[in-house]
Amino acid sequence: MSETEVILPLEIIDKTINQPVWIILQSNREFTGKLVGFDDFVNVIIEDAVEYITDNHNQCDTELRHHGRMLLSGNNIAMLVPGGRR
Amino acid sequence: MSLETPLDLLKLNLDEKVYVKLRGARELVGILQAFDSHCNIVLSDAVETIYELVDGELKSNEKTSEMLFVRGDTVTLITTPTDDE
Amino acid sequence: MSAAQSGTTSVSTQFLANIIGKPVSVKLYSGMMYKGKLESIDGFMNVALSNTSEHFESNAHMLKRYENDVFLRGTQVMYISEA
Repeated sequence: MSETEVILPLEIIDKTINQPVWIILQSNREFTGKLVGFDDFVNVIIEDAVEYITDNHNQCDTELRHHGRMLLSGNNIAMLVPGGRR
Repeated sequence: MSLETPLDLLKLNLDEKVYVKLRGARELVGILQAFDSHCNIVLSDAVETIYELVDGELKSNEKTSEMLFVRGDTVTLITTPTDDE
Repeated sequence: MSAAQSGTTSVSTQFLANIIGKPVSVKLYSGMMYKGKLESIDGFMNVALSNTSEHFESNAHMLKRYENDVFLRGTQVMYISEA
């Protein structure tokens, strides 16, 4: 065994708390906001979320702005990216 | 968490006329006989309305049944109807 | 009720307890959005709303208003947001 440290996936998410996060669902929908917390099912709480409904050709995303906190169901989350949307 | 969960509140609608929205532009109105935590539902005197776009025009079709079992996975919304439903 | 039974654990349970009685927006996977006062919620994200209005995707225009309490099925819920 090598000496390299094993990093659990959820540790990365844990380090993103209080920082911007980019969340991609299994459908053509994405969210950004400040990560407030998450649970064992990776249901996620984000603050001041922006919801993007992405166009297939990435031409015109529809943006919806939310104020306050949002509980996003982990059920259809495909990816969590620390640092916000690129 | 409140003591009365949403499913507890549904119990208040037993034996009453309910409006159920289903996936795929379908809705049901009937008397709520029974339900469980999966939202499997039994309705009596049910009317099902199925909406369809035919050549860009909205059409609706109605089916009635005396007693109806609905599998919970198609259910999206349940409420008690107002006069027009 | 244990965490496993209730469906969720600490952070989300706490959030849910905090927003009961407040105006919320609930979006379903179908894109339908329901705005109303949060009467009740459970760990499966089943939701009961009062004074509910129905919209598609955004607040842009209202499709329907529900006079009576509305039950939304948890498996269909994408998010619950403070309005």
